[in-house]
Amino acid sequence: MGRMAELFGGDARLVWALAGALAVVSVVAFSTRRRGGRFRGLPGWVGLWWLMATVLVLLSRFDRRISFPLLAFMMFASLRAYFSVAPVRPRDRYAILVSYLAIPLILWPAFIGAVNLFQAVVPVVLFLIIPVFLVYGTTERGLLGSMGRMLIGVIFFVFCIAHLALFAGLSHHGLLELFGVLVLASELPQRLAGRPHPGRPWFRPLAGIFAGMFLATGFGYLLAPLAELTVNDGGRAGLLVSVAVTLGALVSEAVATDLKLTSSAAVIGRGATMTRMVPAVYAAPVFFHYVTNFAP
Amino acid sequence: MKSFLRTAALYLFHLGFVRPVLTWIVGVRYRRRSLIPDGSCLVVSNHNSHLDAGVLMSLFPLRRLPRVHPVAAADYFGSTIFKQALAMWMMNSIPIQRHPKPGVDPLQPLIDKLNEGHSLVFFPEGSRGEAGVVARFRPGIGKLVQQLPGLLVVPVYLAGPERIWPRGQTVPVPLNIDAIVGKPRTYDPEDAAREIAEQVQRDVLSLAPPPPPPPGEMARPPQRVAVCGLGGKARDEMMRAIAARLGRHGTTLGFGATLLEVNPDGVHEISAPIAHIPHRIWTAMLAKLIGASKRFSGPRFSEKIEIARLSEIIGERRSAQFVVTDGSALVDLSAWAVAGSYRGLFDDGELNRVIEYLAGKQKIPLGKWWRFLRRAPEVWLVSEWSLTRPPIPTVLVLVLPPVAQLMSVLRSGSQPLEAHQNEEGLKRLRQGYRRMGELLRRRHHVVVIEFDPTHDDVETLVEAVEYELLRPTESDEKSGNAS
Repeated sequence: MGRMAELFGGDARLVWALAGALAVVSVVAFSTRRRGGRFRGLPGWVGLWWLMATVLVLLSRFDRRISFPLLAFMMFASLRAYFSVAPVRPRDRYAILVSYLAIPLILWPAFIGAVNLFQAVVPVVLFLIIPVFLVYGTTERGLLGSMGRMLIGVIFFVFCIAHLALFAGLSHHGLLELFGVLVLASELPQRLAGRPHPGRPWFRPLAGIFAGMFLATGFGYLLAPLAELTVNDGGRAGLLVSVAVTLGALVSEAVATDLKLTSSAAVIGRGATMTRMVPAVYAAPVFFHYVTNFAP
Repeated sequence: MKSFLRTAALYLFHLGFVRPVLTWIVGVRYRRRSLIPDGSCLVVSNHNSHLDAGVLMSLFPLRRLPRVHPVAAADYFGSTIFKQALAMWMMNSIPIQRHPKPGVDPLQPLIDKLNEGHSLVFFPEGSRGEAGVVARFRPGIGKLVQQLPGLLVVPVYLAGPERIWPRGQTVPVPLNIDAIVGKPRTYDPEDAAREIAEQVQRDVLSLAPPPPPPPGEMARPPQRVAVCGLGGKARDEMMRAIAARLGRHGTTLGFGATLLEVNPDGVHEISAPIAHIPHRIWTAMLAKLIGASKRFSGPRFSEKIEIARLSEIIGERRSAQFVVTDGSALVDLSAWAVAGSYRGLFDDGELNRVIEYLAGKQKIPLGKWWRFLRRAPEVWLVSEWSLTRPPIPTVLVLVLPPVAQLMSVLRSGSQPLEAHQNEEGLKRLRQGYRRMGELLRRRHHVVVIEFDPTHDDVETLVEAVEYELLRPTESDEKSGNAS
């Protein structure tokens, strides 16, 4: 343990906690993978989480010159996968390019630790500049549909994920690993119980949501001291993350359904990023703002 | 020395630029890449972007790069020194004259390379054309096939490059590309060049994924007709007749020995059999391993699973209004289980559970595994390995000729009789289908039509199926759609 702490700097027990959480979800996914239905997607989700966990640990413990390019690539790859399945008008290709270029622009304030600049750059670039590239010189119809599809992708895969980079500049250590554990604790029961769908019984999904809240709050209380938070703040953070994960799952499922991404076979796995990644990244801004504003 | 420099330039360009860009910036996903043969072949594909040649070359392992040549238009790529260096040195292209002088065979350099054992990347459309539109393939590909009988042609469909870097755009925009490889095949050199080109085009287009439907209200899932029972040829003909009739009312897909697409414009047959893909081999191996192939031989079983999977995907995509299949994995496997193993052992409730196991609604409990492995291994395989979730048809046509007549047909055929092809076995199978039909009618509200090819008229059957599918349902009447 001591050598790990020496290697990583700070308390390395949260890294072990995240690895343990991942091991548990991996075992659950492996043992239930043949049951079909909602269990079919678990191995893919766990596979993505191994990658996410690596990025979280690198962001938290390693030099930003290593971790930020990796985070930027993750944002780029997920945004690219989203744009590949979300139909936008052919003439909007330059707006797509600007969305990609926004990634380094948004990560730069986080890299230099300027949170205020980040909070100014994000809305200006994402919500004011990108739409200009969509409307410039067009008389075609379908602008609003195209704009909506483009901006929701940018919100998920640029705005939300970029908040993970901000944690790297905070004085607390281990918040990113704690975030990973809380999201896994919230998501696993929900995924095992299934998502709520109109026209289907709500009991089991609701039980999954409450079990997720209970687990995340519990882990928040238990692990908070390791991330230099009070136990109460940790518990509240767990509850908030769990609520955000639930809302993110609802939003991502609805978007995926509208984009006809419900069948992984039909879209050759392309749309999987939406439902696997969005619930987690949806919670990142909520967790960040809670920790910085209410639990300093 | 020149050859060494060319090879060095080729490897430098591909290792330092083409492959990193395709892997990291574009994110190409190759499907069934293993189908690329080891020897000489001609890779043909749709063409919408300058990226296409690079993507197709990256289908080959690096060691084969010097022996793979994209075919490039001499007039376009020879227009400047830069383009020439890029195409001929960096990409190892062979120039082809699109407007040759009289008496010159523009295909000769390509034939020479193929004869030397090299492989070519060929775009039969001739140019990039309009983004997202596959133009008519030119007969040059047919002429090449005519001059090289036995030439292996690998169809590939590229989806994505037309959005990344279409003709007329200067800046490429990174998006994902899917390169879908089809089964290598040869064409009959006796056919006319134009006809061969059309066959190649059909093979390339058959690999295309369905286009993403526009966002908004979802279309209804397709209505399904399954033609099951005894008498293989009669079933296939019936499937075709029903698909042809339903095609008048909306896009209809027919799955049998071949894949049919029928719409109000007519019947379009995709000549290649259902695409051969690796997991079919895997399914066949599994079937053999647990002895499922005693009843359904390996390839037949995996073909059945493949058709059910495709039908399942089409249902989810909702791109067709009607789907007609020759056979149904759900009905056939259950009927065979009833006939072969569960005679009198299962009541209707238990048999209904078999349907639920097959449809993926329930898993076989561990305590029953041995029973299923011994008596109906196909059901166990489909359920426990989640091979498919065969959908329940809307209309089930049971083709049930008299056993005596079927036996005489089988005896007169050249094929040796299989173990179940005796009067007793066929009677049991007939009863098995009837029992399944009855169960589906009562519990799942499936319309079941029995058909005896010795007495009944195919036209009447087709009309009956058409009537059942097009009559307004209760929900239509409630929502006022009946008109």
